[in-house]
Amino acid sequence: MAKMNRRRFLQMAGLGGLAAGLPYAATWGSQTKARVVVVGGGTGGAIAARYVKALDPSIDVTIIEAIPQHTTCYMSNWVLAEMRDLDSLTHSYDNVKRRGINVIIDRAERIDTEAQQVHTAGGERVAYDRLILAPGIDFRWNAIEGYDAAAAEILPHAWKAGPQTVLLKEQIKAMDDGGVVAIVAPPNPYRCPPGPYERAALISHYLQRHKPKSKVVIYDTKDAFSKQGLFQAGWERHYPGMIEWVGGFETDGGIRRINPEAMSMHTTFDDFHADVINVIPPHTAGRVAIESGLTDDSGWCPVDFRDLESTLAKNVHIIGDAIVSSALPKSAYIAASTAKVAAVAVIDHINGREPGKPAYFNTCYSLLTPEHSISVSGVYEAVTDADGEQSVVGVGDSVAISPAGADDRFQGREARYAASWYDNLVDQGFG
Amino acid sequence: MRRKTLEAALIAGLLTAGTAAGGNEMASGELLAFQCAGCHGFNGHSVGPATPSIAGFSEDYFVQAMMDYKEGNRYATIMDRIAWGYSEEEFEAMAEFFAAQPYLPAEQDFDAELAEVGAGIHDRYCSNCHSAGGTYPEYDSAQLAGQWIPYLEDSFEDFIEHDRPQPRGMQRRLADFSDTDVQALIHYYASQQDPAAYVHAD
Repeated sequence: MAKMNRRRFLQMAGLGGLAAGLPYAATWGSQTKARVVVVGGGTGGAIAARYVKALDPSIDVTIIEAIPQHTTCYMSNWVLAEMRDLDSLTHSYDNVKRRGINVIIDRAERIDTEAQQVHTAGGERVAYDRLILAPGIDFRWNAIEGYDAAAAEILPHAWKAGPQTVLLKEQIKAMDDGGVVAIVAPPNPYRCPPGPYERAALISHYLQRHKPKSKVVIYDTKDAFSKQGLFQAGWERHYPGMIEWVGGFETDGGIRRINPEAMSMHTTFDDFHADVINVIPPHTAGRVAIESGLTDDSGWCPVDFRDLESTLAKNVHIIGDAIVSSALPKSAYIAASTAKVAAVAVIDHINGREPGKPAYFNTCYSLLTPEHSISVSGVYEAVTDADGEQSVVGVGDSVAISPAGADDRFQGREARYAASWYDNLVDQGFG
Repeated sequence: MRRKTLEAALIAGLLTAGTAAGGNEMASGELLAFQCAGCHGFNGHSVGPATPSIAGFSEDYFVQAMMDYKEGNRYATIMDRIAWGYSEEEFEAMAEFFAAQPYLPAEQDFDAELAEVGAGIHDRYCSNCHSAGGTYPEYDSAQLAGQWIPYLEDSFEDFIEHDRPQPRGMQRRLADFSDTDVQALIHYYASQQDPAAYVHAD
């Protein structure tokens, strides 16, 4: 029945499309094109720009991004395991430009949401009709005492890929056999929930082959973590005795202070040392979101999950990691997923239509070894609670991880799917 | 390059019709389908060798495949879990989108000699059901031609291990094939890289 209705509707829309469906510029009949500005040219931003342009080529689409090439943070753990080099994770904006999308390489400092203009470090004022904000994350420096931007040059976070990834890799490479690599794992919410634990596995993969007497210790603020059972079983199987996880409950909430000179980490009661220290500090939404008044007390951007419009400013849609904590994980796939929801909503708004129901979907792979992977996936929908608050929930039993004890055929396929996931995910924005 | 010229025309045309669907019971088929692209490629054209292109699938086959995953009838690592999150109506809406997309064969290396042997095997044993050299989107099968070799290898493994629904005749046939026969078929399918050879289902 639903199918019949829908088909009939599509036929009607097809006929009526000449009147109702014409792109904005033609409908409005003026020289003014609708201007969509995307702040942040990472995965979410690049994909949002492509979909907006593809859905309505009459719209003038501009990406503002500070860094001339994008290096994906996802898959950067593969670099630590010598599976890939950083170049293979680095993507230019050539294809983006070829599609008729303007790319401004400049830092967006602040968005004037009243005047609907983006102010850049280079002194530009870029006006928009609709803004898609994809600012990614920034760090809460000194939330761990002693860990600030300068300390990160000694003890890398490697949670934004690029020179930080190389620094961590080089430090592990220079470490003596029998050394200890510490990973300081952040509190929720943060980018890539399984990332620190995949990192432990892939660093161990490297150490096992080059420095087999070494260890990896994870100092967590949390009492539990993403895909925990699968990770712990995988660590034990592939790297027996090599990886130790110290939960927040064991240390009264994890590392509170760090001394980069002494290579020491301090909890309320204990002092720890390591030869390489990878500190992943607590996160906030990307700085431009904070500077523009688009974050709440949590440091993240509240949105209406029906169309991802900010609840703090009109005509601004937020995508990716910067969205306020919800059932949606801060994954690359959700950055892509929210990019599409926002792109379609922006097109609808510009053409004077009420956006339809959104559709959110996540898939995220984590490698245990180059040939063994585990995954989590989930279908999500926007819901309205009794107070009229918008949120998202998983649909049915769809938010689920790979089964425990899966065989090599299964985990091997997931490892190959992970590589194809990367190829396709990146291709949507940069291909 | 051909990808780039097609995309704007097709996707724009569909979307104008689709998003206006309004009604808050279900997301549009287009937006639902967009969510598949992270693994199956922009508009269903996979550039990753382990995941199939799903553009141009017949609507019947797309829905059948998804329902097989949902109901546990088909070997899966992740597609079963994903399918749990959608209704048959949503699959139908996605199917409509993907069926409207042109199928683009993967550009990949193949063994020409093997492919020639495979063409003979296909014509003799497979072509009754997989017509036009496996390029046609059948109601009960996807295009075999033009998929990535690693994906085809996984698929054959699943059929041979009886982890995927298949007609009895196909099951018997596959049991008789040698590993070389299977490789020959795979390279034959991979060899068909002319987009013009692929037609749309009606």
